[in-house]
Amino acid sequence: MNEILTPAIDWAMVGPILTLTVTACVVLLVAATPARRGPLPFILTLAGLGAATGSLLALWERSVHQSAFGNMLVMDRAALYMGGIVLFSALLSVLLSRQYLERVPAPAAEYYALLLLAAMGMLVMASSNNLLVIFMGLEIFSVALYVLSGITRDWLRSLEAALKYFLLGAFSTGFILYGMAFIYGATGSLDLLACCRQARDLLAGQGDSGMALVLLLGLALMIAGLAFKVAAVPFHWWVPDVYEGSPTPVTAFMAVGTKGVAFLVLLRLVTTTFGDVLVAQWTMVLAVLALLSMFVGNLVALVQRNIKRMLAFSSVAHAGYLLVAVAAGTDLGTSAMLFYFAAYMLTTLGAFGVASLVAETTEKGDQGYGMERYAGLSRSNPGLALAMSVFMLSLTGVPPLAGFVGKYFIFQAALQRGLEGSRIFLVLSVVGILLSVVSAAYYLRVIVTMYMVNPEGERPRVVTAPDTGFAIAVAALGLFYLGLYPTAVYDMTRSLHTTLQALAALWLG
Amino acid sequence: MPLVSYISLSAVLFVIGVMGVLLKRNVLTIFMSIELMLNAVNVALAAFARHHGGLDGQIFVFFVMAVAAAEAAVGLAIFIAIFRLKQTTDVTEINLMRW
Repeated sequence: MNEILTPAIDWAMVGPILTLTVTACVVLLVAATPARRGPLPFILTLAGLGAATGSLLALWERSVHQSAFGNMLVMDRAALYMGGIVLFSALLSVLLSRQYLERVPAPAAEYYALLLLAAMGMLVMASSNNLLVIFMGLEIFSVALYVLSGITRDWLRSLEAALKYFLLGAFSTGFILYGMAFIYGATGSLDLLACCRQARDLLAGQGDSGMALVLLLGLALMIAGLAFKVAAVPFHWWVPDVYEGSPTPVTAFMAVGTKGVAFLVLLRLVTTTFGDVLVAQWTMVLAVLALLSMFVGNLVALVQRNIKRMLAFSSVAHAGYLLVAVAAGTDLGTSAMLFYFAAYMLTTLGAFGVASLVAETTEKGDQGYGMERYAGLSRSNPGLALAMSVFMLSLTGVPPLAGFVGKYFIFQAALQRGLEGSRIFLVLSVVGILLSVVSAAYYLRVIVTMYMVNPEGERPRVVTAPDTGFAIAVAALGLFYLGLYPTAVYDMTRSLHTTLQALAALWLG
Repeated sequence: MPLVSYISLSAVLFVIGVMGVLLKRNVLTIFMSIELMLNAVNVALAAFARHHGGLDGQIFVFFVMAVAAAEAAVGLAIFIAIFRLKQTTDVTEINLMRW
């Protein structure tokens, strides 16, 4: 009898992913019992997210470079940082969801299980180092989010959002996959770092010259697919409808999580894998995407009267700012992107959280996302209005909030590239800063409505459950913390760039 | 046959799929076009795997098929839920929010 050899697997390495998977399964089992109506699914979900965060922190304390499953997963600090952001946003989104789920006709236990699975997929994608794993992570969270966006299945609006998200999401997956097939075809490997080595040889003129073209085409297709996921113009048409129609806490989680991991993969692709071989090509593509996103996002947001649509276009604009940082490709750019993302997460969750509270539920679905509903909110709910003002000011980029510091870092990185002689980055920083000023118009309109417009008739007091209020308060205070003491997080993000580079260096030898 | 013929076949299938998504109005036809795109990917992956003499690409094909099945389950469920409320499969009529 021959012994069957099993490869050595460090299970602690996939601790956060395993924890989330197991919790999701347990929650799904609870969904089959009468306990589904009680607080048990909610408590289990929080416990699972807490445990996953704990094992993530334990990994952070271990060495900087760690990989599992034959380097298919890398748990480097960049992956852990983005994983932390995903888990934190899932936590806040669950806190926001409990009160919301009491008034909407949605199965709560299944909702939590799907949210956990989506977070799990995002962790997989954040730590992937292999085209196949990127694809699996992407699909795990996408399929979970397709269901989540249509989970209020008596509401046509929610189903319509699910349909649009599903069709366009699957369409974009097709592009990402075709890109992967071409990259695999050109390099003969699915491993990102092996791809990296092959790509250098190919572009240095060794091997088949046609394959260099195939590689370029593959990278272009993958960037297009990822641009779709991060909601960059011209791949943004699904964003407003999906964000508007989905249940609001889902929208918040979708906006943060999807964008975060897609940006991290983009970063891995363009700065690490193809970092020094295709610089000219991808820098230009990303710069154009950034420019278009900032333009379209900010200008269309100006005319929106629905807060969720306004926030959707604002998220398109923010994808533009983040792309500026990625396009810069320098260590400043990388760290600015990662820092800005932390600020973006807090503002997005907070703003959508307030929006979900202020809205009301009718038979046909959620109503009351119109701007006029915010009239008089400062008198009926001073705390909520104050928190919303903080979120809006941070999105605009007003000091001393995190949004300002984040934008400062991003445009600093872009200007540095510009001053080194890259003209497109000068354009990007000037246009970006001007459009930030324009964006003040629509963000401040919310504040003006809350504080200065008298409501028509009685403005009913919005009831805020303690957990929802806690989540919103954490988001608002977090913005002050990141804005006033950015050093701790910024130093962390600075070290992450080194991590990404070191990974490549380690493998290229 | 040379690699180019397989990749050309895959490109033709992919373009037909993309065209179907962009031009058709029935959700089921759109979905079938997306499946066609995924199958174009599978042809390309299998051909490249053969070209390189590796197995990675062929294994990838299995993953793509499995995921496409999962997507189909979710997608058809969404279509049915919408059809119950609205009795239509025409995307241009599913327009509470403008596209």
